[in-house]
Amino acid sequence: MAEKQPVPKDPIQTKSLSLPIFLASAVLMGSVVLAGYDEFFGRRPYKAIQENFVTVYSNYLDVLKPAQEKKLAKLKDSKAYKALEEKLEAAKEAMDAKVPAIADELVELQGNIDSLQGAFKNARAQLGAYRYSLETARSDERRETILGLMADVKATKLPVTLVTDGESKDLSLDFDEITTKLNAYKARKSKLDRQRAALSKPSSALQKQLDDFVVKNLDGPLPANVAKLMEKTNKGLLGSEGKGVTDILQIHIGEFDWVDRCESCHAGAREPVTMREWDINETTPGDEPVEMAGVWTTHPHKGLLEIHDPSRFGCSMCHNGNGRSVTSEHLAHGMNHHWLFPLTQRNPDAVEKEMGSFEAGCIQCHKDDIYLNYTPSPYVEMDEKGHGVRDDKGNLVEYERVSAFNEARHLFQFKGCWGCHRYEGVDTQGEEILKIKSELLTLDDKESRLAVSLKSERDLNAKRKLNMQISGIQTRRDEIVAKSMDLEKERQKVGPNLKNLKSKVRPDWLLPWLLNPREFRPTTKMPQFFKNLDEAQAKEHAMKIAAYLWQQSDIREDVGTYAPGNATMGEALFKKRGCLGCHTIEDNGVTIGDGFGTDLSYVGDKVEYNFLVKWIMEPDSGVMPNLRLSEEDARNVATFLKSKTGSGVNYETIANLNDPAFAAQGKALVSNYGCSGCHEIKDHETEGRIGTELTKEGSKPKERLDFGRLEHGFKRAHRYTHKAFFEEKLRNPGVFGKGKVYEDPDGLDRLKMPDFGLSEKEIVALSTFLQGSVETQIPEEFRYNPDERGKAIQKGWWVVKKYNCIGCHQIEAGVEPDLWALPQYVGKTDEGAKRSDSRPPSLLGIGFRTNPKWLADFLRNPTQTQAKLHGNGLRDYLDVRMPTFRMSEGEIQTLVKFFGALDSQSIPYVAPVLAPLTAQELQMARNVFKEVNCNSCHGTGDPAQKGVIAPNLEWAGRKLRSEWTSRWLADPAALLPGTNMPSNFLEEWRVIKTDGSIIVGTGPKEVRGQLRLKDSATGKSLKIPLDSIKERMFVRYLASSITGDLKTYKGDHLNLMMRYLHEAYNAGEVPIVTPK
Amino acid sequence: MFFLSEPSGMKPELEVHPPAIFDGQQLWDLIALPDNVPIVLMLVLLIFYMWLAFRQAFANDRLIEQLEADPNLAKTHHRKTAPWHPSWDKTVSVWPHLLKREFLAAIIVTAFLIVWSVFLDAPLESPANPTLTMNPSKAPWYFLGLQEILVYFDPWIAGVILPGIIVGGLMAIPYIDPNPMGNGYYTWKQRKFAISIFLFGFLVLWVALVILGTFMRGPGWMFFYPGETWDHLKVVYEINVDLHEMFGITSAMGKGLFGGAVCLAYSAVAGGIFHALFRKSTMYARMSLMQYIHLQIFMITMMSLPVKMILRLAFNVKYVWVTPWFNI
Repeated sequence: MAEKQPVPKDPIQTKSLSLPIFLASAVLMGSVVLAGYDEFFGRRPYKAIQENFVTVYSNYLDVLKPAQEKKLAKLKDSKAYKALEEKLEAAKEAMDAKVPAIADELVELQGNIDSLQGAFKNARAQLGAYRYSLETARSDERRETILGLMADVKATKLPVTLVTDGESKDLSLDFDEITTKLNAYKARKSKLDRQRAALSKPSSALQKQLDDFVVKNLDGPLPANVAKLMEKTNKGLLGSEGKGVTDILQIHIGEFDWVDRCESCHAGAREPVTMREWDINETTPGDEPVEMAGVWTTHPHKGLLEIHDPSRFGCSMCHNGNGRSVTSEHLAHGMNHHWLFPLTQRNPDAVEKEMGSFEAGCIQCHKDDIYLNYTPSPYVEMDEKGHGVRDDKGNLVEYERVSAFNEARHLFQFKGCWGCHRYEGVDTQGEEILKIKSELLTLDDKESRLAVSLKSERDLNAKRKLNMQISGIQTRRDEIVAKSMDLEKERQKVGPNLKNLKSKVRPDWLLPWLLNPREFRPTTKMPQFFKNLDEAQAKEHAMKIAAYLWQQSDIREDVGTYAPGNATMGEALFKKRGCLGCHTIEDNGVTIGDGFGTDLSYVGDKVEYNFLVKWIMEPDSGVMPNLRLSEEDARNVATFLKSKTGSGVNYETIANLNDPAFAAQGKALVSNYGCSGCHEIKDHETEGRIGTELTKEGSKPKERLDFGRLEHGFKRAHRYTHKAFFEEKLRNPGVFGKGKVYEDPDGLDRLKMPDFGLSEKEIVALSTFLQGSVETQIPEEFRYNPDERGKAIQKGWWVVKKYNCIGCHQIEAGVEPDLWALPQYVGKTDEGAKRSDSRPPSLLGIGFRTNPKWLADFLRNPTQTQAKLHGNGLRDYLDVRMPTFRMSEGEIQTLVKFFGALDSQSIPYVAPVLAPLTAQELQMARNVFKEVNCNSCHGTGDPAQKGVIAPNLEWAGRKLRSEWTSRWLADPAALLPGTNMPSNFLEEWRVIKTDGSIIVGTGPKEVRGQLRLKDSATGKSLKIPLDSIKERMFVRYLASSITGDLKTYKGDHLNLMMRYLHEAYNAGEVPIVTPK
Repeated sequence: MFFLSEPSGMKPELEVHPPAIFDGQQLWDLIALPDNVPIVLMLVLLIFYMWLAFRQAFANDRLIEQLEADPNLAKTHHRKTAPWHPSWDKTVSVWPHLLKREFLAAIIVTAFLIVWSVFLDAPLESPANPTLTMNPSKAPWYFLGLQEILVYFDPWIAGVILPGIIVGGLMAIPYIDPNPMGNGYYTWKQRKFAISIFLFGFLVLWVALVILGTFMRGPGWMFFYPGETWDHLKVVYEINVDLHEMFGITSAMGKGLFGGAVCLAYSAVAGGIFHALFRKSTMYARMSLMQYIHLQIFMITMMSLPVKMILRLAFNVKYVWVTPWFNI
């Protein structure tokens, strides 16, 4: 063929794939490189963070070190430091005088010991080997041989060089001689060592004292320690183990395989310095705030870390999040969908200023605590550069904050959330009563069965056993019946009893109150209902409820008709008797008092006078105690309160108030709104709680929270969280009903939660509390599990909070009740009068001071005697009065145990047996009592006595613990700082003034730069300025100067007085009254 | 304060937001979920490979036609697959021609998998919450078809019997249709039956159900159009009734007999229709009785799934045959 068509090439056989294969291979290589990068950097973002941290941290330390050096230099300049230093120098000199001789001898001894030791060891090793052969030898001949060899070794003379008094001698000694010498040298050496240690003891103790002084008074770390940190950091090492900057820093708790790698990024958390965000920003060059400053800050509350050591608790046990993850912030903080324990969120800045964040984590372990002894670290504001805001002096402006936990616990209890929502551990009495009832049934059943068998039993021994069993059951039954009666008494709803509403309030006040309680009384606990209804329906509901409540109410029978009293006297009484310990009242435009109880500013607009009088005399429900006022006093106070009007309430009479048919409609509403959760209402006593249980609300799946029709909006705003739900719900309880279609014409299908008018801070606190109320992942042994003492404190706080003991008394050092600050309680200021204090007593140390048995008696009846029905028993001189509480026996015991536990006292208390006073001792004690004139301050119970400012000693023996009394007499201020009781009053002191004059006196007490004492010669009280005193010295016990024959008394005079007070002094002893 | 506080400027969304008709964010979240990426990829790849395979199959079919029309050509030197040229080698050796292509493919797939693994982590989720079943709770993506079948049948039937029979049936195709044609080359013409049955079983009864289960089943396994906001509060009025109830049969015996009769009737009708369609095909002619019986059983069973789906979706029929032991 001439024309040849060009044959196309076969693509399969001829196509070269080199280029595609080359390209694909290049891509493959690229992907491997990508994977490598991802492995080493992409998945390990903490590496870069750590490197930057090291830079920032070094910068900070560079600034910190000179600052600390400066502070240290200043401290070293201080008098106290110099005094200590001088002492140290002196001690060192004293030591240096003796130590060198010992040291020389020790060197010599050591040389000799070493020399002997060489020879000794060699011979002993040989002997040891022979001994083994001897023990394992099989024939007597062999044994003989070995014994011979051993004797040879022992007899061999060995050359040793010994030094005595600087002279060296070469000796040749056998084994026994070497052993004897060696032991002698060793004994001498250890003796010398001990001597040297004893000599250096004073100086090393002083050195420690000096170091402690520096650590305590230097604000921040020692420069030397900073230098160590700098060295470590400059090497690029991090964390306590000093790992390199590329390592994962992790805490591993082996017991249950808990791993927290949080410190891989938060590398500064446990650094021993304090480096907060503003510190980082201030020490880093540049004007912009450091982006990661918040990550690298040291833990703001080092005290917390001391109790919860991170190496034992990790980070995420408290803060939540996913401790194992280090690949991204999102994952490590557990923000991924469905992670069960997302990181606890910080509060909004506005709230942050007032209250701590992150406390949701505390609640899961401290569920049973009602009060945590914890103050969050202060809040510091930062400017736009990220520097801390400072005042004129350059100090940081710090905002004191309260604990969200304590705030929320208080709110939950105080606002009565538990009336509708069950929460484990709160208001448990009802459940306990049910338990007791069921136990009673089983006991009855058991008893009747035993009784039947007892009847038919003929065997006497079996009869005896049966009788014993039955009596056991009966005892148990009596016990739990008493307990259940106790519990009934304890059961206290948060609102007032409505069973005698009819006697108590004006009928036309009810409607405006129900519709908007806060309008009448802004601080009321009563929430506003009906907010989800339209106006007409709200009013209708309120009227029906009012009618029902009115008609179910009884009239309090024992209320009489009382004549009006004197409002001015009533006001005085109100302000002085202690009403303000629980109640607030408007006083010339200012609200005074403690907000625990009802605000009484406008109470006159509400209550009926006659009821008020009776109520003040004998409150019969709620926690309001009986102040033991006479009828006249009660009338005065009631008249005063009745005059407190002006709320501007719009009274509105309800037309059908007494129409039973109308009221019947209200009954269903009362059940619907759960009124009986907070109030005692007739026929509604057994109604259960209407709300959801909140014990584990924080771990309830989000899907089960009723976001209603707002769900999509919350999801879009990334607020589909528990926190957002709780906060919005508390802010506006009806909000999640928005967009829902309600069909019940009576309006009963609406959301029922009423509006409590909470502040932003309260909302966040409660939300924190609920977020922390979770099914915890933390094992039992890591949770707070208090011992007997801790439990007593936990339980006691419930009672203290319930009856508001802290309204009048100081229980925690540093926390004073508001009442103490009121002018009428601060006391008279004029110098002449002895009375300086009319405040209710501080209860600090009360558990150590009082005999528990007496304390319980006192709580049952503070007057102690029938005679003082309208007064104080113990402290007659106080206007303010310890009221009689209607506490149950259980609560009294709880309180007594609580006070004992607070003061670390063992339970039960066993009083020591005191030696009885001899006639001679008694006489002497009486004389001392008279001489010191105890009754010039202490009361005797005699109304004629004047100038009383201290407790009645009549019950000292029953009331006080003798071990406390001895200590108290020795140094009162050490037991109760700020007490009026003088120190050293049983002793006589000689004071030499700078001008050379000498004063001998008793009862020296330092007050405001003056020494006060009673001149023994003239009996006058003297005030000597402290700077005019050259010297003062103890002369003798005063007692020995009283009667000559007692000079021979060898006993302890304080002990004598203690025994006198405890054993002999009582109402029978004639008190020596010195009128002033 | 950097990231710990809630995003600033996000005011509380306290207004009612009805579920969106097209919620782009949610759709993207669904598509981008590491678990769902393979499904999306499968969709794309499936279309691409179907197109590729059918293009080749149709080219080969044209070649076959040419060869059948020209016996001379058929006898001479040629390849069975397009493209071809008389002068080209009749066969191509595996090494190096096939292997180097496979090698290229292996490199590309390896690189792709590495990149994939870098950017998309294994879709492991947080520890399970024993008190909460997630809603919707979905099986791994390759089981979502089965989960969808659960809507229509008893677990035992939907989870074991039907998938077993369907998969078994698809595997049995080469034995039911032992046609040697099409070995080593793509063809549609010569294997119409095998290909269409397989594609029906795979594409409709497997892939489509997987996609339905992934993208169109939301909380409560309720139906949502792709892009519609999943609202777990959605309420749908839908009452499914057993077939016998529609006919007012109440006795246990009656139910069983009635259901059995209906199922038998379905089998008879489906078998009849299938027989009528199949009777004239060449394949029917060369099949043994055993092969044909198997074919019928597999076909009737497989078709029962779409039939039941239609009954359920269009007529709200819950079960056709209710017995104490199983429900169909």
